[in-house]
Amino acid sequence: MPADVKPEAMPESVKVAAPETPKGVWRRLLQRKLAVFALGLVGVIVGAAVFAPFVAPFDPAEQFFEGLTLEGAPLPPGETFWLGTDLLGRDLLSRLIYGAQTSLIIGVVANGIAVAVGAFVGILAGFFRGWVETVLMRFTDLMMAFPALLLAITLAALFRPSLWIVAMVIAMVNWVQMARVVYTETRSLSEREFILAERAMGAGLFRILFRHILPHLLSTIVVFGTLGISTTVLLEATLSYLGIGVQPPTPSWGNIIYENQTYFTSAPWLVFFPGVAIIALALGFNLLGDALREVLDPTQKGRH
Amino acid sequence: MHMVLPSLTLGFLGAGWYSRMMRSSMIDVLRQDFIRTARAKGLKRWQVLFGHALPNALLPIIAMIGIDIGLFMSGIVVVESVFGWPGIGQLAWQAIQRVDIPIIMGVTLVSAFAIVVGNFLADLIAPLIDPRIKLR
Repeated sequence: MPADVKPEAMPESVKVAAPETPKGVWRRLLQRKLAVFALGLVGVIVGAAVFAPFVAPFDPAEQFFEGLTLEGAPLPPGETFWLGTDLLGRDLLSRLIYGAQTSLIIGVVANGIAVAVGAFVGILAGFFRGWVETVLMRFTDLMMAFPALLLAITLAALFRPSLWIVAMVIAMVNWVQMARVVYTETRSLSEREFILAERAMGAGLFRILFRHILPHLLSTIVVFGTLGISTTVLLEATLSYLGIGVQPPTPSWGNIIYENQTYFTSAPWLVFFPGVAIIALALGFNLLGDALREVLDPTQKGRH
Repeated sequence: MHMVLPSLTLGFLGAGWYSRMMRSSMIDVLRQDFIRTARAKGLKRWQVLFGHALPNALLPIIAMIGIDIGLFMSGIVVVESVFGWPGIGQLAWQAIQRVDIPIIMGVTLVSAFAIVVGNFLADLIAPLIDPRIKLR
């Protein structure tokens, strides 16, 4: 072997496709109608959360005297209060707009952490097998068997309940399913020929794991991650209900539903609109994830 | 009859997850070369779909069934309380609220057992469906 040939020159020379530029991804994403619609939907929700003080017509915590009927019942959607008022005479629209802040943090940040940790653990356990697999997957089983509510209550007793504690609890509870699914798929992927080929070419561990196995898992991860948004938003509501979630005057979509579910027959708008908001958030991310996956998937290049 | 509504609730909820998983997994599989080979051999569309593509797309579904066996066996609090079923989920919920340690321990033990069994089954069935996975 001549001295001037570096060992790492090999994988470089067999590279077939030019690396994807962010600009190219963006351009191809905008060619899809559904992706644009999803971007709009997510954009509106994020915008509402960020600019809540400017967008919201009222203070979310203020209890309006004229927000209740003379009998003390909440008002249905009308002129002053566009989406109606809740049991304390607070404006539902303002509460939904401020609630977007909480729900986005829970649905995107907590869920994102859960997906990232789950995928990482699953890939490692599925690829290495042996004792790494045993340790990681038995730990996953352990976490899965631990009742989520008990864990939440323990953590809430240790720390003062706050939004970030709630997000952490939700992430700790939700990463396990992701880990299981990714693990099962990686077990099969790591036995395939292209991984053998990668190893034969002397590719590094991280290159194999993240450049070659991860793209094949992307579809599963995207589906799991986007469907997890609605689940986590509602899990936050369960925690709020137990008194360990977001603290009362702060609205979140989940706890608006939870506070009002017993009045579903007499004041359906109090459950309907936050429900629609959660569906819109989940739908937006679902469509966006789908489009992103199709744009990024290396095996689908040039086929649409 | 009394099982119909709770089962439907859980079923519809799960069906959404499963069908999306299945869809994305099938899309991946159907783009692979062996599907083209199967079509080129002159197999019928349903033979390709169910004989060749389905087994390869089933892996994430198996993992999810394993998880769900465990989770459902350890109780679904919301469904149980809405339909008034005194199930293991409600039992756990009430025990946690009352800090009833022995019952919490018992419920945790039962659900841990169910989860381990569910995942173990999934781990065992996966190599039967995809022989590329080797049991070591």
